[in-house]
Amino acid sequence: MALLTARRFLLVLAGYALFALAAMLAAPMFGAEPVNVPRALSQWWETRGAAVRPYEVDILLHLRLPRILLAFLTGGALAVTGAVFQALLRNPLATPYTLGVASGGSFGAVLAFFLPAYLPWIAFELGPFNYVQCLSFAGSLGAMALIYGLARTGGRISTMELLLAGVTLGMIFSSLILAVRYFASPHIVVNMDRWLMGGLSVTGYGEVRSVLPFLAVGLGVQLGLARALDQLGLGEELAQSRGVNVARLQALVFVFGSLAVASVVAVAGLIGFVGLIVPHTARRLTGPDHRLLLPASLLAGGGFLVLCDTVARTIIAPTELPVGIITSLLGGPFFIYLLVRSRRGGRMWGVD
Amino acid sequence: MTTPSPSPAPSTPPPAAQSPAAEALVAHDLWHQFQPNWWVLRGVELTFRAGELVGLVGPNGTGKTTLIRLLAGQAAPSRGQVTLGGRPLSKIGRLELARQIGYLPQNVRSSFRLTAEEVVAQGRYPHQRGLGLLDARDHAVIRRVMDETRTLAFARRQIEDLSGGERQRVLLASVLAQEAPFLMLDEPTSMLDIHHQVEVFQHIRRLARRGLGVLVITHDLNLAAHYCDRLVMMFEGKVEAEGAPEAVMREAVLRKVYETELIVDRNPVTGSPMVVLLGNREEEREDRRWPC
Repeated sequence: MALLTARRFLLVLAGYALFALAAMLAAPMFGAEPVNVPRALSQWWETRGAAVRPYEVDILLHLRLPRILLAFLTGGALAVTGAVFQALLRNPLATPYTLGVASGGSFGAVLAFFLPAYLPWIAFELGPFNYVQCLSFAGSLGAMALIYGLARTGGRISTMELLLAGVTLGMIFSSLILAVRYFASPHIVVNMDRWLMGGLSVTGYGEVRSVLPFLAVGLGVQLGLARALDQLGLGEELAQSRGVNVARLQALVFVFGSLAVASVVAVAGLIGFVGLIVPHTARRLTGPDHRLLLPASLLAGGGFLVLCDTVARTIIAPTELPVGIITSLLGGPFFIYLLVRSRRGGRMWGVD
Repeated sequence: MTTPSPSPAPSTPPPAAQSPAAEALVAHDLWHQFQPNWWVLRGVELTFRAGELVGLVGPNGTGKTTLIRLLAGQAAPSRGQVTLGGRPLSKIGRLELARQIGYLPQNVRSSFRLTAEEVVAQGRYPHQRGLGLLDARDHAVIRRVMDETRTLAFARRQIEDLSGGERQRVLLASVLAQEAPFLMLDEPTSMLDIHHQVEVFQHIRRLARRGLGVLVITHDLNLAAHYCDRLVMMFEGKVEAEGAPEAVMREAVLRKVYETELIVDRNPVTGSPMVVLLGNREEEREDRRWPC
């Protein structure tokens, strides 16, 4: 790739933005109930201020639009965090879920489904958050604190221990989830499984509003670290000698990446593959420079999940498929295609 | 290409060639340990000036890499301190330090598909702010150091696809792009064949002649003796001998440090000291008696 200039930066991002915008404009038209977007918009304009609105307007504004926004935010957050974790761990297989934080979140959510049968008072709501979201978020943050503590040696976190602690803790949480499922009654297990498969069902703008502040901070910090992450590509020692505070960079990346993952998992469960394939695809298309790769991943991941969610909503409408199944089914073959192609010419990753 | 923008007063220091050689990098009684009761460095005193090429030599495990890392400000010594122009390195900001001292560690691997040009451009990090887009001056520096290291020909090739010698030159260019007056190179020639080794040494000597202070770790005593202005021989965490190559490359010193039979002769062409290893001849005679 050529060196990053202002012109290339703007041109490439404009391309990605176009893709994301196209996905977000096309998505509202499809669904169990087809919506004629221009007609709905004109009806919305005509009935502004009225108490009762045509159902098409309601579907567009209160179901489709918030869902598309949530899909975009979720996909973007997973893709950015995946790209950043791959750089942090210098491992092409890293995903936002690799470091065990999401497993903690899943365990929290599964507990939230299990407990109300025994502790009715736990079915609380905290502002815009319901108790499943709260327990999931708490589980993620708890896991993050635990992993951070385990990986911290001599005043800094070691990425190798971060990986080991994260993967191990992830396995422990998986076993705990199995244990809780074993004792839960079958109809609750169904709910747990639905949640674990990931999904973007919304009721208005509550979910979007509740994740937005956490994502703004989590993604903002990660995007701001792009230039330092570039330096990490040639190793910690060289980065350190260029003036990067490597220990602080690693801690910031882990904490704020985990914050983004925790908030996304709390509202959408586990949506696989976006955080793995979108960064890789973007890296192939635009090169490894994180100043370009991270915003590109945000736009591409957001657009990709909007598309996948549209397919999930419509393919067997009026029933919905979990979007995680679609991301893997659409993304998996595409990723294999990239792998095969890169095996023929050039590599995807520097060292392999 | 970015259009050159009229930038306000440049925040970067002048290139090394113009800066006075007065600033010296000095190690004051350096002690370092990674574990209690195991000192890797035991009281190293060293003064290192701009404009000289110094070879840091000695057997494996005698603290060469530790010393170069402390001198580059990559770690803080357990005891003692390193000063640059009288200022302790610990009091100098990270980015300023990176503009003063360039450091090339051993075995740098790239985890992404970076091109040679991108690797070199990364060396501009301590001079950049914000998004770090390259300005006209950055482009000029990148071009100059790539020209000097003869890496322009493969600027757009992936660094992991280059040969060992080419890679090493690209990495050297990347460190040079920092425009630091001091360079610390940890075995830059260890994986190169002989003509590339000579090439690297010729290049870093030219840099020293231009006013840079270059400290290089190497295991090749003959190359070091030929190209370096000064040698520092490390042994068991201390400076065993230091000075002009003739003063350090003495049979007594080398026998003690390397524990092997050798003679020091003069290179018939260049006149610089030359080590000839003899091995343990007693043992070799034994080996010949019992062919396996």
